Amino acid sequence: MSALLTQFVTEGRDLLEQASSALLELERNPGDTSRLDALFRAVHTIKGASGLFDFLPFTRTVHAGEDLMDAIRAGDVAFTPELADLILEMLDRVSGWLDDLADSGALGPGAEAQGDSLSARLRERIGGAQEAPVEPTNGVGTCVEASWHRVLYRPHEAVFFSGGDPLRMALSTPELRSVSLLMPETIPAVDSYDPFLVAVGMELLSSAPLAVLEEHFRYVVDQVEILAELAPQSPPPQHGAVNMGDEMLGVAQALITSQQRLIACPEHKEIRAPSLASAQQVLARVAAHLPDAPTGHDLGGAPLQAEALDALAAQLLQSLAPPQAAPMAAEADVSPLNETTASEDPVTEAPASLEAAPRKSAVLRVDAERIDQLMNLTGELIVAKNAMPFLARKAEEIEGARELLREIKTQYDMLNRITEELQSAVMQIRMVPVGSVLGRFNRLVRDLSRKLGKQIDLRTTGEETEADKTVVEELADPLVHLIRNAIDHGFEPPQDRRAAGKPEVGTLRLHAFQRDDSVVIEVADDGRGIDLVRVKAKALERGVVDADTLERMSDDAALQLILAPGLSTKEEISDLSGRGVGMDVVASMVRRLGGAVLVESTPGAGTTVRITLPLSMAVQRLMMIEVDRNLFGIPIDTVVESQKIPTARIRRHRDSEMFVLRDRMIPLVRLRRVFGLPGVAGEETVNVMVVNVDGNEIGLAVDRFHPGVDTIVKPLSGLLAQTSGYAGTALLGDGSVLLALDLPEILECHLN
Amino acid sequence: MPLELSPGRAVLADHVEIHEAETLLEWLRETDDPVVDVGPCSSMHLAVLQVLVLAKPRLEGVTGARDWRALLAPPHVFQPNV
Repeated sequence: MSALLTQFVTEGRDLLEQASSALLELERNPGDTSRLDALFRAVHTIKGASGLFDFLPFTRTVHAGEDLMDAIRAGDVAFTPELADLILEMLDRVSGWLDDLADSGALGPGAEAQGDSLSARLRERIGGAQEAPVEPTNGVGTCVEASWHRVLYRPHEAVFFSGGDPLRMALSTPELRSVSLLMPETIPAVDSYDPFLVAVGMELLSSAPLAVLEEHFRYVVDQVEILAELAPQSPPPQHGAVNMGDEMLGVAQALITSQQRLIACPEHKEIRAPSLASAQQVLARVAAHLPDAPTGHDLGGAPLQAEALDALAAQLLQSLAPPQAAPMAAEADVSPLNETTASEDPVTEAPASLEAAPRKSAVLRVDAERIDQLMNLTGELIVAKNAMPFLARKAEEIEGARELLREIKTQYDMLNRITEELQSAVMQIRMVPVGSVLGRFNRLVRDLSRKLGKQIDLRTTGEETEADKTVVEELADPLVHLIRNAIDHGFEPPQDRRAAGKPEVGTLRLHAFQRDDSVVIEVADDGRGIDLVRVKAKALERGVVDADTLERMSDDAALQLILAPGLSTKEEISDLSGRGVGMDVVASMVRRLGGAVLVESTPGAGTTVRITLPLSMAVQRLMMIEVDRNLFGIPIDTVVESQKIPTARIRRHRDSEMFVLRDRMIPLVRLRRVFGLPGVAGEETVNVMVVNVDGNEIGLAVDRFHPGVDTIVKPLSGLLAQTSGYAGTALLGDGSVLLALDLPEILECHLN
Repeated sequence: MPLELSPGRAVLADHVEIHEAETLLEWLRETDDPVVDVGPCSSMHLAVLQVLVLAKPRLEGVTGARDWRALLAPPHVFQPNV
């Protein structure tokens, strides 16, 4: 895929996001014109950029959408929820096409038909008469910006050596209307020409504001000249002598006026004649396209003098523009921009105020893959660093290597410090606000609540809370489940809410905040709450717990049973949450990310589900334990303490063993048994690592304790992907592989 | 391969980078009545474009092009569909 297309897809996605959030806001406050403008702008920019490529169905559809929004802006069409549905459908379609473009560089099959039907439906709303085909030859622009800009871009001869590509820069100009190559005065001979020197220039016409263009060309500011240009007015047909679209009209005007400038320019004698010849040639070509241009034949003949050419150009201008527009075009054109900014013209003042504070971009847009690569390399550096203690141990065994040993240790300390700093710096780069995920749910909530006939107000707080990019990305799926659950099961239908004395509009709160090294996301509804009696009954019926255990459970603990697999208290199966895809999926997703889920609920008042996730998942500190000469890792945040428990203090109750530690009864899980290894006979004490799994303390009986280690845990893949009991593998400094234990699964293994 | 050369005919595909400009120019210098097909080309560096517009080989895939390829043939003007 070309770099230009990649850029188009990335920016297109951003713009779509902006458009849909503006649309949803607009739906909430239909009178908010600033949202309507934002929506229009986003769609307009996508349309403009799509014109660079030959994706006609794409451009046509977005164009129809833009026209519809323009009609809404003008008050010709009323904004209704149905209209919003249609615009959302268009945004979805465009998003689908962007995915196609990202995958294959072309629109998917059937794009033509999809685009036709969608744009027809969009145009239907405006009243089909305004149909405006997007053929470049007769495109009728509907937007009437008052000022355009012409950019003369003459790249330095040696610009290629600094890695620049002026063509790419030119083609990605915002709201580009036209590009023409400016050929060199003398065409170099093919035999002597150096391909690595820039020979051509470009003249661009854009409808973007000055500030945007200055931003775009900020690195080549010395190579461009930006001039104000009067935008083509929508010509009232009875005025225009020429039947041509205002796009083309604008280009023709621009071409003629630029020739006038060339003619008026006092240049060196030796290039005066070629300049005039060139101007004459261009004017002749323009005249050839004007059926009733009075001067076409004059231009085609012998070289004309400057005055004659200028007069002919003025005549041409008049013949193609409404009488009052022509002098304005000429006027606006001849003065370079820095002079016009001070004028009273209200249109040029807006960009001028922007110009006063030039935006220095301190933010880099970097491909996520590069950051991932940096993270991976940092991870590998950490692993490599971990090799040094092994090296030190080897040095210890060598006679007379004390000096070497001390040096290794000093070097290790330094390397350790640097890698830690590097790691935290990379982590900082990867931190993104969770708002990027939370913002997406407006659409989901809107669609679901409309479908179910419930009115729900989504309130999002703490969007600025930051977490690692992977964490934020992985958050999306569990949250979608939770929100669906809340809307489907949590909120009562409006009549029930009224009967219960609650406001008809339910409130769904998404709240994000940081606590210690974790990011916490709460999904809270003010619906009916969870029926604990039914949860308990279901849990018994499905055999999730036995009656004894259930008896002893606190209400809070019993509530967490809804996270167990196979437990859904809603009898009927809706097409939203579906069958069997319930809270257990959320719980397992979150656990896989090293987080935890907690459910709180008050009958009649609502339910809150709290997801706690580590801020970063890339580098994990594991505690190493040894079982039968094999090393295993346990996430350090689950470790409570390590103890040597005398065998005599271990009590048996039926099949299970437990011990009392500071007045707490802690069940003992012998890892040797879990792994199917023979036990160790006759030991006096047992090494126990007390860990906290989902709020319960468990003692793991191990052979030996080992120090903690920083690792990157990679999930099991390939043939091993289905192996239960392990969270993944990590590479140790000596090159051996450490298996990281998945404690909830180990526990399940033990219980069965 | 972004640049495929065969006797008398060059085919440009995908994105043609700056370093291909020299190879292309060499080939254009050596070839009588060269034909360059830019049909499969999605984008090219200005250096490559320059070689094509200055050396003026016969071009294929340009006539009727509604994208940037319109720049390759006189009058070297491209108007995006707006």
